[in-house]
Parts: sequence; C-alpha cells; structure tokens
Amino acid sequence: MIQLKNIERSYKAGSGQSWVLRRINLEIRDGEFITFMGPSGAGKSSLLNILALLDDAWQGEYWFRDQAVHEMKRKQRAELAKRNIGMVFQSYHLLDDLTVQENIDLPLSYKDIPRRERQSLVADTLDRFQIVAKKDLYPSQLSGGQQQLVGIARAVIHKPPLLLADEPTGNLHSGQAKEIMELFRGLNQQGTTIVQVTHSEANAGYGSRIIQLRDGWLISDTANPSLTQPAEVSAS
Amino acid sequence: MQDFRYSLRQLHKSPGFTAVAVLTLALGIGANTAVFSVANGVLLRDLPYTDSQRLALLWSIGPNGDNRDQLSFTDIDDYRAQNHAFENVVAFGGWTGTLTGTGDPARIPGMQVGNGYLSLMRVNPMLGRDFLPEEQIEGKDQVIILTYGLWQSRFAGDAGVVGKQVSLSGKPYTVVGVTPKDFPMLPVTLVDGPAQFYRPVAEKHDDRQRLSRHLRAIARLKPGVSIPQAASDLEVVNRGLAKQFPDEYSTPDIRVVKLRDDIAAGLRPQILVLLGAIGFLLLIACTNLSNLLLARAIGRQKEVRIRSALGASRARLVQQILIESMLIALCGGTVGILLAFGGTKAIVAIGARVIPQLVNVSLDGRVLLFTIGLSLATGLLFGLVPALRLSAIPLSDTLKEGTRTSSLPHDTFRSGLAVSEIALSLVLLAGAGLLLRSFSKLYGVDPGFRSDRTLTMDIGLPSAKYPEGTEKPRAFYQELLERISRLPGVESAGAVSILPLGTNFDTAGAEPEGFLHDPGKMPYPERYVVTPGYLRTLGIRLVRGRFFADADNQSAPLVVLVSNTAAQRWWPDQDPIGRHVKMPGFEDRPQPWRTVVGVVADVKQASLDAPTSAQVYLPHAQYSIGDLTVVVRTKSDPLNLADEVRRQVMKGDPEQAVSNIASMEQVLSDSISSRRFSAALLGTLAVLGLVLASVGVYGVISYGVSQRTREIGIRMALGAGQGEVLSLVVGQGMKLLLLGIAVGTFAAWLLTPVMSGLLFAIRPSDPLTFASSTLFLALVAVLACYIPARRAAKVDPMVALRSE
Repeated sequence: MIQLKNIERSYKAGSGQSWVLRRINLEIRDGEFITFMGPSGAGKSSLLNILALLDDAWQGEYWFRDQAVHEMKRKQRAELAKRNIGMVFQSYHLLDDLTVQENIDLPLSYKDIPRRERQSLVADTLDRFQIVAKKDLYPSQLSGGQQQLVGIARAVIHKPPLLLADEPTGNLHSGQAKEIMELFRGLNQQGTTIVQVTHSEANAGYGSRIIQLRDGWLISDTANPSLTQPAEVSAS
Repeated sequence: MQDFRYSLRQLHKSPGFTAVAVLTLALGIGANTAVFSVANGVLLRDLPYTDSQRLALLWSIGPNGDNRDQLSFTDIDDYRAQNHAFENVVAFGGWTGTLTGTGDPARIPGMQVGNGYLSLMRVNPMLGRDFLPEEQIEGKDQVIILTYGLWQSRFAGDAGVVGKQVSLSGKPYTVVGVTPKDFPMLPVTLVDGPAQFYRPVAEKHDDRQRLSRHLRAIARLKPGVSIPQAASDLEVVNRGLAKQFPDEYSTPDIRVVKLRDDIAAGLRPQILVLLGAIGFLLLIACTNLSNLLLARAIGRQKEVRIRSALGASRARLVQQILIESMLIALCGGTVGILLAFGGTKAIVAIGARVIPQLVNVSLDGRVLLFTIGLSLATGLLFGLVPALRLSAIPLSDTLKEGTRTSSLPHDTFRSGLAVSEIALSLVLLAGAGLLLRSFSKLYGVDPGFRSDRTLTMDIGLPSAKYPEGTEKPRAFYQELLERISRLPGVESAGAVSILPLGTNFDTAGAEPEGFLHDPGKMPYPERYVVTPGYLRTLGIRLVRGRFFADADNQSAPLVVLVSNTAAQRWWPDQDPIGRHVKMPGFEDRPQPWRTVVGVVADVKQASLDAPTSAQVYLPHAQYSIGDLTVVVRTKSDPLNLADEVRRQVMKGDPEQAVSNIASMEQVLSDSISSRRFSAALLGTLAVLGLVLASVGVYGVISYGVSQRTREIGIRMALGAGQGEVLSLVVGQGMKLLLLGIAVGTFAAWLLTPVMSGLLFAIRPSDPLTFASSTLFLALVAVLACYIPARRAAKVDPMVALRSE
C-alpha cells in the first residue's frame, strides 16, 4: 500500500538543522495493523504526520499504491488524503460547537456527496458505533472514551483504506482504552489498514507488526528482523 | 492609587496596544474637538462686541420671498424714529474706494455707516473721534475713520494721522479717528470684503427713494426686549408705512434677527450635520476600542480569576479596568487636543475664505472642557462593557489548568460591536455620498455663460473724477476695452456692473409695459449695466432680437435687453421685442421708457442652486457708471494676461487701481466652495470612519481566526481545502457585513432627511447613493475579512493540532 524510501525530516534550529527523521525506509502492506513505538522525541508522530500527508516538508520518496506522492502538489496530496486516510487523535479534536452527528459528518461535508447519502452514512455510522442516543450531544457532554469513539467514527465514516491513530488512548483510562483497541481490531479485521502510535505495550499487542523508532531512526521492525541499527543510534 | 499605579504599569507593559488605543481615540476626540471648536466659534461663542447679545439686524422680506432683503435709508430712518424696542437703529453698507497718495493706488473695501454706529457698537475711537451728526449730510461727509489694521498698513501707525487728508476715490477725505485694535469689522457676509475704514452714509430722508433699498440696518435692543417683541414693534411701524406708501410696502413683514444668529444662519445646518457625523466617528472609535479591550481581556482572564480568588469584589475589578480605560481616554484626549489644534487651524485656513465666520474659531476654555468631558465619557463608554464582562467570569472556572476554552463565554457581543461599526460607517458614507452627489449635480448646472478662458477684474472709477451719467466713465471704459481687445492673446472684452455668481447683486424696480403687478409687488429684476462686447465675451446666448451695438449710445433711443424669464413673466405668449420697460434713472432724474431689442438666456446670479429671477441689461453708453467688472476672453490661461490688462487700466488712468482679479472658473468655483468644503469635510470623516470600521471588522475576524486555529487545523486534517477555509472565514465576516448593512441602511434612511437642506437636486434617500455607499463599504469589508481569511487558509494543520 505504502512505500517510503529514504524519508528525512528536519527543522531549522538556529543556524543548523535538527533532524527528526533519518533515512526511513518502510513498506506498509494492505491489511496490516502497525504500531510505532519509541520514547518521546523519537519521531513517531512526525512519521505519522508524513503518512497522513499533513506534512509537506520532507525529502525522499513516498509511494501510495504506486502513486508518487513526492511528486504531487499540495492540492493533489490533500485530495489523496481525503479519499484514502482517516485520522484519530490523542485529544480527539472534536469541534466544540458541533454536535456528535455534525462532527461525524464533517469529513463528508468536504466531499462531493449528496446530502441524502451523507445523512444515511452518518446514521449508519452512529448505529455501527452505538452512539445513536448521543447524536445531538456536544463533545463537552461526553466522557473521554465516548469522545474518542466519536473521533474514530468520524475517521472511518468515509471508509478510508488507511486509518492513522496518534496515541488514541493516551487520554483514556484502561477500561476505555481496551474498548477502543477492540474497535481498532475489528476495523482491521474488516480490512482497514491501521497505523497507530502508542507508548502502551498492551495496545501494541493488538497490532500485527511493531516498529521501534529512536532519535529519528527506524531501529527495529518485527516484520524485518534483519534491520541493522544505524551507527548514530548504537553509539548513543 | 494602587489601582492607578497598576493600570499605568499594565499600559506600559503593552506599548503596542496602548499606542493603537490612544491613537484611535485621539483621532476620534481630535476630530470631535476640531468640529466642536467650529460649532463653538460660529454658533455658541459671543461675538467680539460689547453686550453683543443685544445686537440685531433688520431685514425686509423681498418680493421673491427672500428674507434677507435690504432696506432704503428712508426705511431705516423711519424704523429708528418710530420704534419702541431699540436703543438705536443705524444704517450701514459696503463701500469700496480707491485709496491714493499713500503708496500704490489700491481698491480698499470699507463700510459706510449711519449716525451713531460706533456708540451703538459700544466702542470709542482709539485716536480722534466718532463722526458728528452733521457729517451725515452730503457735502460734509468727506471724513473717514480708519481701522487699526489700515492705520498700521497704510499709515505706518502715524500717531498724528487724525486731521490729515487722504484721497479716496478721487475725493479728499479727512481722517477723524482710528478704531481700537480689538474692535473687529462686521464679517464679510454683511459688508464686502474685509472692510478697513468707515465713512458716513450721508443720505437724507426722501420718500421718493424708498425703493432704493441698498443699505442694511443694525440695531441694539433695549434691555429686556426680546427679538419677537422687537419684530412685532417694527411690524406696527411697517403697517403704518404700508398704508401711507402702498406701492413700496407690499407686506408689513420685517425680520429682526440676532446678529450672531444671522452670521451663523447659513452654517447652522452644515455644522449640525458635521457634529452628527463626528459623533458617529467617535462612536466607531469607541466601538473599536471596546473590541480591542475585549480581545485583551481574554488574555487577562487568569489574572482576574486570581484577583477574584484572593477576594477582590466585582466592583473593585470593574474599577481597576475602568481606571485603565480612563487613562487611555485621557491620553487620547490629550493627543486629541494636539490634533485638534492642527485640525482647527487647517479648517480655518482652508475654510475661512469660503466661510468667513470661521475666523472666530479657536480652542477656548469651553472647547477644552468639552474635550475633557468627552474623553471621560468615551473612557466610560468603551471601558464599561469589557470591565463588566471580564469581571463576570464565574469563579468556578478559575485556575483550572489546561482549561481549553480560551475565549469569553460568547463572542456575540464582539460581533454586535462590529455590526454597529459597519452600520455607523454606512450612515457616514451615505451622508458623504449624498453631499458629493449634490455637489456634482450642482457642478453640472448650466450657469448660462461660459466660464473657460475668461479673466475678470473689478474697476471702481472715483465718482469725483468720473461722475455717473456723464461721458467720462463711458469714454474710459470704451478706450480701455478697445486697448484690451487689441492685446495679443485676447479674443474679446467687455464689462459688466455685476458679475454673475460674484458676491454682489443689484436689483432695481422695473415697470414693464402692460404688465399689471399686485399692489406692492413691483418687479425687481436683477439689473446689469454692460458694454456691447460683454454678452458675447461671456458667451451669454441670444434668444431673440439682437445684442447691444456701439450705435446704442447716449444719443440713440434708450434700449434694454431682457432675460428669457423676464420676457415670459412679463409678456407671456407675446413678442417682447419692441415692448418697453421703465427703469430708474440716476438720482432725481425721471424714469425713462426703454425699448426691448433682444431676449437673452437666463444667467445664474446669486448661486447655481437658486432659481433664476428676471434680469434686465442696460447699455453702459446709456447708463454710464464708474464701477464695472472687466471681462476678457483669452486664447489661453486667462491669468497670464492679468498683469497686461492691469497695465492697460493704469495707462488710461495711472491713479486707477483694480481688485478681485480672478478667472471666471475661479468665480464659479468660489460660488460653490461652501458646499465643496462641507462635502470634503464630511467625505474625510466618512473615510476616517470607514478606515476605523474596517480595522474593527478586521480585528473581529482576525481574532476569530486566531481563536479558531485549532478548529481550522482539524477541518484541514479532515479534508477541508484552502477554498473551504477561505469561504468559512469570509462567510463569518459576510454575516456581520450583511447585518451591519441592513441596520446601517435603515439608520441612514432615518437620519439623512436632516440633510435635505444641504442637498441639491437629489432626495435624501437617493437609491444610487445608498447602493454605491453600500457597495463601497462591502468591498472594503470583504478586503478586511479576506486578509485574516488568507491567514486562516495557510494554517498548518500539524502546527494547529500540535498546540494540544
């Protein structure tokens, strides 16, 4: 599904540069459930943002189903993301002034989908996530777990083949976290490719493949045991 | 005191905010102070004459309804003798003379005054004495009193000037006095030009001259007598006169008006509209500041919560915030006064030529009090709402770390402020638009003559040397015009007694043959004495018959030209050519019949917006007077020929001065300069208002964008494109704009009728003006929204989301 070749990302820091991702080579196949792990500052979220096409300022090659994303203009990338990717955030990122139903409808409102069809999709999703009773509530009236449920519902309503989740249970207690991870497992079993960032070993256990990052380098990949650790990381 | 110190520290801490707030307010208060100083100087402040509240002017009501018609010496003499309301009534009028023998010959405007003028004005000459009663008799009237200014400029302040002789318009005059420095002349709305000397009126009571209404009357009310009482007293006198002289007094109407009100009369509506406009501007400035303070208040919620938690009462919190806004207001007021100094000077400098009353305008104690009051009121106005709202934050929200809400409960109020700004701004724009459209319509009025490439200058031949009705003035002008016509660059030349759209006018009682007028409603057409070349030179159209020719001289049959309006009024559906009109001759001579030889197009005389009245033209050769305005049509810029034409005048008489040299374009432009001044002033205020309102809209939208950065980031992460974000933000602004336009249009529709007196050929609800003002405002507001919207569209979703 995705091939990353020599992806690098840096920020200007004073007169020099601060590297957050170094020479990332990675292949993500359809149907995988991948977990990015590593300490804070390892580059997990940066890599996720690049996969989500939220970040443009990287170097290297990014192939999405044989399409050269690195050659695309910003608008084309946005279009590609709109069609293929769903995002789940640690702090849910629901819009405070919109109801549950309206929040879920948001991604559809940016697509050319007739109103009636949108209404039907929203109704299906509310039903599927069992939050029909909460459709007219505002985010502030929901618990953290319920808010993340809405966040996931919103991320998958347009049936994206790839779901990216950045610390999806970071703000939830363990009971709620378990529910969310079960939901992810179900989605994955239904065919959605999932990439999550987490610190939690338990959450990582729901996935099929774990990738470790440190200081911007990809240091281990359960799908690729022969991956050699770069010199910079081994020295540290 | 502690709150005061703390407020100072707060303002010092945010110099950018303080500067913007102080400057916004300074602009509003400065403009208000400047306009109020104009209102104060023109409408409120006492005139610089002793006990000026008791000074009044008398006007007759003209046959055309003009309520500022002049009086004859005999009228005034009767009013003086028969009234019971005034201490004294004195005749006065403008009188311009050529002063020779003290430097270059110069035409100097002065004032002729009846017996007792200086004592009526409660002033004693600084040197010498007042006129004596016997000096009001012709033959003994060759005495003058100099103003301090003339005494200094032409006589070098000579302490021995009293008793000396000067030559005025060719006659020897004895200087009998000099008025004090602080005694100003009546303004030029009452006498011609900035008058610099006084001479006696020297006319006598003569019932046959009752129609010779060329003088004005000033009076001092007896203590305790009101204007209406004085007016009814004079009406009794007038009724008696009307019985005795029914032909001369059509109605017993007489107008008595306070001197100050008369001087301010024409300006009152303009000033009131300006005051209204400037009030709107200040409201916009206050609204902006309220918005600014509200935005700032958001950053201070935590501080306020800590203070509340530590026991500060709501009143104390409000007090603290109000002190801050008062400090800003006072600083704004101080800078505003400085701006007002400049603004007032600029208004006086630009406007005094067109609105002479403005010379009295300055910043005095009353204006300063007004400004201080205004500053405090604005401080309260723009500070109270943010203070109340900020102090009303519930304590339950206090000090919760990580509380994500970073705005005050609702932004409806701030949006409301922006809507008010748009509405106020639209009212200002519509008002300015109406004045500008009126002005442009006025500019399009056909004056009845061609003003391009035409030079004009006044010549006043001294009657001693060139007696009226004799060959001498005729010969002088004939030779002068021949010399001018031969100059290279001159197409033609002529002369006229009264220049259209100039400051003077001349009407005379006429008796058109076969025209029966109501008793006392004798026609008073405008009278022009012209040389044969005048009408062609000024491009006045011949409708029927012929123009004057050189053959229409003193030995030829007496002829007259009449205007279209005169012909239609006097001889409707008849051929006016060959009819006769009796016009007054020179003093004591019989009124001869004159034959109409031509009809010419109407010419605008008093102003472009006044209806045209009947006009008659007499040939100078048959009515030779000494004061004419020479009119020269040139091939290029007329003012380039001014010196050469002046030399030709001196060639004819080296002692002859010229005055009021101007192009006809300038004369035309000056005639509408008062309207232009108002339109320009209101236009400036409207632009200022628009700028402030745009800043306000920008502020609200921009603040909205900063508050919605996270939301915009989420939307973009979920697929919203730049166009969608742009339309989201601009759409928010458009809602405010549409609401503001709706409110503003309604307010403008309610308010613009107060301007109807200032408009010309346009209704106060003129749809085109309303539509164009709205469109203009909308364009500026869209731009004000577009800038923050562009910023919003460039939000990096990654950065926006990382802020969590």
